[in-house]
Amino acid sequence: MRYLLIGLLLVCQGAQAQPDPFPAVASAYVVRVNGELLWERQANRRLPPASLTKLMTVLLALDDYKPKAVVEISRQAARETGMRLGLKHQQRFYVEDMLAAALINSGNDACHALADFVGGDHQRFVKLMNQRAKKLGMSNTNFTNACGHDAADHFSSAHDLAILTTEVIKHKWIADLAIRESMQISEIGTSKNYTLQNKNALIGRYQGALGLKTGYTPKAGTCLIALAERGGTRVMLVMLNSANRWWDAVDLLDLAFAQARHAS
Amino acid sequence: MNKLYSGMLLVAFGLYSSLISAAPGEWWEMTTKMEMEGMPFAMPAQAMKICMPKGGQSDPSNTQGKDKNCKMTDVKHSGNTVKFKGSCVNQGETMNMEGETSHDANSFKSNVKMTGKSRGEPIDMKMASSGKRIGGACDTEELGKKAKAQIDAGMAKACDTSKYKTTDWMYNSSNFTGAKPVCPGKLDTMCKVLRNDVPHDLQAFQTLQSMDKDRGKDSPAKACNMDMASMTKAMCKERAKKGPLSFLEASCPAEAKVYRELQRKQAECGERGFTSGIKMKQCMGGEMIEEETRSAAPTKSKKAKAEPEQDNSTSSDSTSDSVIDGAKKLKGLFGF
Repeated sequence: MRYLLIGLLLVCQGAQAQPDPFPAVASAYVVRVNGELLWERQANRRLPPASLTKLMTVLLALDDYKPKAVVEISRQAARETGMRLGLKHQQRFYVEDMLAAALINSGNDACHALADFVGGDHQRFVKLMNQRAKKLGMSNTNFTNACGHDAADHFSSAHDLAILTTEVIKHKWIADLAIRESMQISEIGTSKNYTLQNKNALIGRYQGALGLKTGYTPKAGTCLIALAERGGTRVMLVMLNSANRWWDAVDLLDLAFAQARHAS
Repeated sequence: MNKLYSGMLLVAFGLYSSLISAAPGEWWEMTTKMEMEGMPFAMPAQAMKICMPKGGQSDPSNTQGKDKNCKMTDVKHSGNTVKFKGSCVNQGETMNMEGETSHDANSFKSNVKMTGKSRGEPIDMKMASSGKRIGGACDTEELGKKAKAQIDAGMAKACDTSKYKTTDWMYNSSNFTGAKPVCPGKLDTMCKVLRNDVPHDLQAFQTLQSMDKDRGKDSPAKACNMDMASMTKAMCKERAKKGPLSFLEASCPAEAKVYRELQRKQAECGERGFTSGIKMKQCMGGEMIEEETRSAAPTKSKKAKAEPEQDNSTSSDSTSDSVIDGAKKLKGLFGF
């Protein structure tokens, strides 16, 4: 009954032409409550998604997932730029650890290594990414790299990223990983440990936070996909090029929960 | 609550109607107990002394009430038992009843089941009554007139709106609306009060908003053709800087966001205790949280470092730290 009421509220709000109460928070955003659209701004606009791209990389890595398969760091992966763990050429790691590093720490070297492992090489992996995007109905998405570097034809939309998020979070392994504040991974065959710190400032701090992914590039600005659940209500927020990422996320999540409470 | 009210009206109607049956009578003590579907508590039994025509205990019209809107049909006497069916039509709503009375010279017992609608609410009610003859002569007509006068006075009191606050008009709006209102001629006054007061009274507005949501077409706002959407917009504008946040969150997310930001900035600046006007201005306009590490330039993250061997951290390290600092502030300010 509560979900019916929330649904009715959402329909009514759509009819009241109030889909974008927060035009200043981001170039584009989407807020969904229990899967239903609550608010949105330029949700189909093509924008650079920065490291939110890595969700697709993670999703593909979960196909035929063998967590204990061994990934060897390629020369290209070791040369990755931006956020990275500092992995060296020919180091070896388990797939599950590279996946964790790509997701919660947003490491570009780990992400690249994962793409190499899954696709054979980076370009083939990018093709797989675009095939999966098309299959999911992400009509305003095109990837040119696995990790989210700015590029002319590398774009997605808030709406498409919400679709991707819905798909990714179905995997229990991802759900369990995304809520970890930190974890350690180890290089195979040595005693080298790497501490992964979750880049999502909401994890462990915002009540009910479940994830999921942060991103930043100069062209994309600060981006965030936040998931939170309270009292059986789940809120998903996708923000591209946000003005004040963490505070805006807290505000929008709180307000979405308040709307759901009010509707029940 | 409406059901309770409807049920009480029905009982009152039944008793009142039996009282105004004309003719010389004798005293009876009558007890009535009502059970209604969906009631969270049992109604207490009501006992009263009534004047009933002699031998009237065998007539369902006496034990169940008389009214011009009601018809007693299918009355069958069999020895000391009477079975009956009946229906009442009031303002287009029908209430059906079916019951049985057993009686002797000095007592009666009656069980009636009533189903139908009253004041828009479905009613499913059982009423058990019993009577015991006390004796002594009485005049039913005189007592009926007294009872009618009492009820008329009660109605007049119920319709006295001279001390009404805005919300009283709303809570009692069903008395003033409909084709045949209980208190006729008051709808215009109610609408005038609501139109004048509600836009400036948050409590009244929230009451009206809640009733509009719960009652739909029977809400006072609808009865007065008030546009809740535009009123909400106006109230959101008026309350944007004053709050309370609970109202803004529920009704105006855009204003709620601005209000939260304002409170946050004030709290942050207050904590810092700035004395300089310029710094205060910077504080009010500044961002609390530094953003995450850049990923365009080749850098290494301190937080994501390979613990044993990272030694060439760059500017991204400090920004990464500031995420955590910002998050700590976030946690400190809002307690999450």
